[in-house]
Amino acid sequence: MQRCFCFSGDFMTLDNNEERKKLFLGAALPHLNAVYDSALRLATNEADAEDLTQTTFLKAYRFFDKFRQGTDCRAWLLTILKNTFINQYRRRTRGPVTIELDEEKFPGVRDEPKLSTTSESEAGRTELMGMLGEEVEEALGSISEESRKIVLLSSIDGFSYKEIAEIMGCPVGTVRSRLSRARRALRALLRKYAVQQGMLRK
Amino acid sequence: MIDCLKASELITAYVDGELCDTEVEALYAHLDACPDCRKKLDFEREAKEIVKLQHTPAESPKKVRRRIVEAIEDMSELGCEPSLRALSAAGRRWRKHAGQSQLAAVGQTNF
Repeated sequence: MQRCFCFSGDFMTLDNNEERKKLFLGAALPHLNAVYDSALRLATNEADAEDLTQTTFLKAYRFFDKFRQGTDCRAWLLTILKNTFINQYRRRTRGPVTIELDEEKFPGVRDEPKLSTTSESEAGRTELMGMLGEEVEEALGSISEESRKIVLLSSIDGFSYKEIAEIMGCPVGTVRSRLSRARRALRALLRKYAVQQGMLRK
Repeated sequence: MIDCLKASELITAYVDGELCDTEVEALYAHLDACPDCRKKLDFEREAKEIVKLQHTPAESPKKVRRRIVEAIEDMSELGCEPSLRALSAAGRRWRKHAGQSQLAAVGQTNF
């Protein structure tokens, strides 16, 4: 009986490894594109993004027992990615990012008109978002590379200001002000469009 | 009470959940009295959302997926808890395939 238990115990170990692999691949691999996409933002070139992505997944597999089932696996992977980048990659390859202090130019941002609200439906908002593609691209294209990266690290990757500051090698206050300025530009764009479409009146 | 310029700055951090309690209170007090800034808050939420909607994520090359799966298969076959040795073995295979040099970093526990 005892022998049988030990024998089955060995099998259990193998089963556990197999189970661990299956669980991990099932939970983590669907987020491969998201991790690679984020890695491209951090590393800025494809070869390094591939390295970062691979390292992230192997680290995640190694520490998979620390992942709480049912929580956000994508966020967990992105945290590993961020820490890998900060600990090993950025320090070695780039050093702190230099953030320029000059004001960026957002036409009309400082002079947002006083507006009164008219009623607008959720459908209207979705339509508004759907029709602004090119202008949003343009607005994001008009800000510096560093600011655009900060916007994406926040909106797409969901990193906190503190995490973004670590990634960029700049103070949290800089992240906050850069995001505020960039979003103000997007806000102005949305407002302009809403007025044009008669969803807002001056 | 804070002015519209300050409220405008706070609105971004508010939408991102990055304001401290004192700042949230100050912003609420301003929003209660300022319909323009309440509208700005709506636009701010949309501005954050539209960046997400606009973004098309890059697609990971197939070779990256293949290398990850192969390395994990290797680690799994080696049995027991993936160890530094297992990671190192996977790394050798990985480097052999792709000439990569990053794998050594995987063994470090500081992630």
